[in-house]
Amino acid sequence: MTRPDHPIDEHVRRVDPVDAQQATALWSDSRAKQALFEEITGMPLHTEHDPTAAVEPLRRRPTSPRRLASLLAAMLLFTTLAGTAIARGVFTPDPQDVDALLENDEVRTRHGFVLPGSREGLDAESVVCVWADGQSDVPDGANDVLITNASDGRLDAPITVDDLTSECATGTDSATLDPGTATLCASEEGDVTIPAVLFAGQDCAAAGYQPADVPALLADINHRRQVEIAFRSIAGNQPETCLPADEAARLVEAQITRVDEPFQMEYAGYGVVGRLLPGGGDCVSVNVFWADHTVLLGPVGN
Amino acid sequence: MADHDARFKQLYEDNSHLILCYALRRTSEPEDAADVVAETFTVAWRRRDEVPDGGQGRLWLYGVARRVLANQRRGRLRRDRLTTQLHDELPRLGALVTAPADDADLEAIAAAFRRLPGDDREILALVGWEGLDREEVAQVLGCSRANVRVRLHRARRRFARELEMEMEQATQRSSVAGHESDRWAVAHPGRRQAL
Repeated sequence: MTRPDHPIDEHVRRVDPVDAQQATALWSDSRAKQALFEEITGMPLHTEHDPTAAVEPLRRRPTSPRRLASLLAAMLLFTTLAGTAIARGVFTPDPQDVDALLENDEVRTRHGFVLPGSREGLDAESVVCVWADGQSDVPDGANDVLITNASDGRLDAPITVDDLTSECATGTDSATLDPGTATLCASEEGDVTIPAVLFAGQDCAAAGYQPADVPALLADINHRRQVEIAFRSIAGNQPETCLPADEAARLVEAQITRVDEPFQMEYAGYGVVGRLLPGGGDCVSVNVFWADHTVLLGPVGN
Repeated sequence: MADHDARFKQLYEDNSHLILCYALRRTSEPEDAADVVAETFTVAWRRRDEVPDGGQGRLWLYGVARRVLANQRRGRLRRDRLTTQLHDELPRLGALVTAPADDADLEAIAAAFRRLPGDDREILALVGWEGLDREEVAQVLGCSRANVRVRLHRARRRFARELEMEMEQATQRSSVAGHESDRWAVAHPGRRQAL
């Protein structure tokens, strides 16, 4: 076992609900420990399948061959499903959706939420930067890894390899490197595969990442950008417009049907602090989390 | 005693307290924690020839306990394995779960932690509470090291944001019934936000 190696882990440790030392001592002295052992070892040995003993990787939603098939199909056919589904591999965001997001950024800039000259990153633009020792000042132990968003490009233009490598080479405050020395790899994050940019000749597999199928990766990212733009244009996170939660939920559900992906909708605060409830009249904005295919309705203004 | 029986005895001796702690941390009732321990080692007994040796065995048990917990949450775990003695010990097991400290900072940390998505809490807990490293977490969760690295990084970042917001809100709550939010802190990933 190792001790926590990141400052935030210390906070986690502090809220550990169990005193492990005391628990160990009590358990060791308890009659229950021996009694349970005797009961278990008195059981006959079963050989039937026990699902809880499966040790192979559990994926919440396995990558499906259907996904690759969809990509290929979309390259041949523009749209299906009565022309409403968003075609994979073809980056053609609705100009009105793009305008809605840009307008939203403009308002948020006025309110100080977004830096002038930039836009809010999309979750679909996530990229993992993996620097070699000494190449960055990321305070993350020996990892030198940072997840950021390659969001310098235009919302209505496809993301490129240059966008990804430049973000990790010079786009963060943590490193200044030659983008030409970057290697593009792939990293699983929940349901999706996101790009990982490695430097100093690091090998994808040796560093724990997968080699990238670059055209497929870019197509997937751009597809997700387009879907995310469509979701986020439903309601922006700015105080000058108000879309009630019930109306937003209706629009999000309709959009989930259109994109034909296994999204689930969640309400921020629901069941936790009760500030935002399904069907309520709160003003909400819409955000997308690709790792678990969640569309989150949350309060405006945070 | 056959070799594999001796191995199981050693496995139980070395790890039952760890699985107990793991279960106590993730259940609200000591009865449920006891069920998890009993069920986990029952599985290990049945499949004792498949349990890896040494530290790998510990990770294998965590993986089983995790699935047992998932089944328990689905309400499918039967409660027919507990001995009378184990039932008798349950009140003592319950006492092992520490009461929330009367400490505003700690309460704020706990509140921020509770608001994280379950996957984030689990990966942070495996590192912070069970003391596992990334390689070990990957084995317990059944995913790659790189995946753990990414998920851990994100979970830490979300927790840091939640903490920051919780501290701010705690200050506001003291004077005004302020607006509370929860997972919203994670809704704007990326360094570009100026929240």
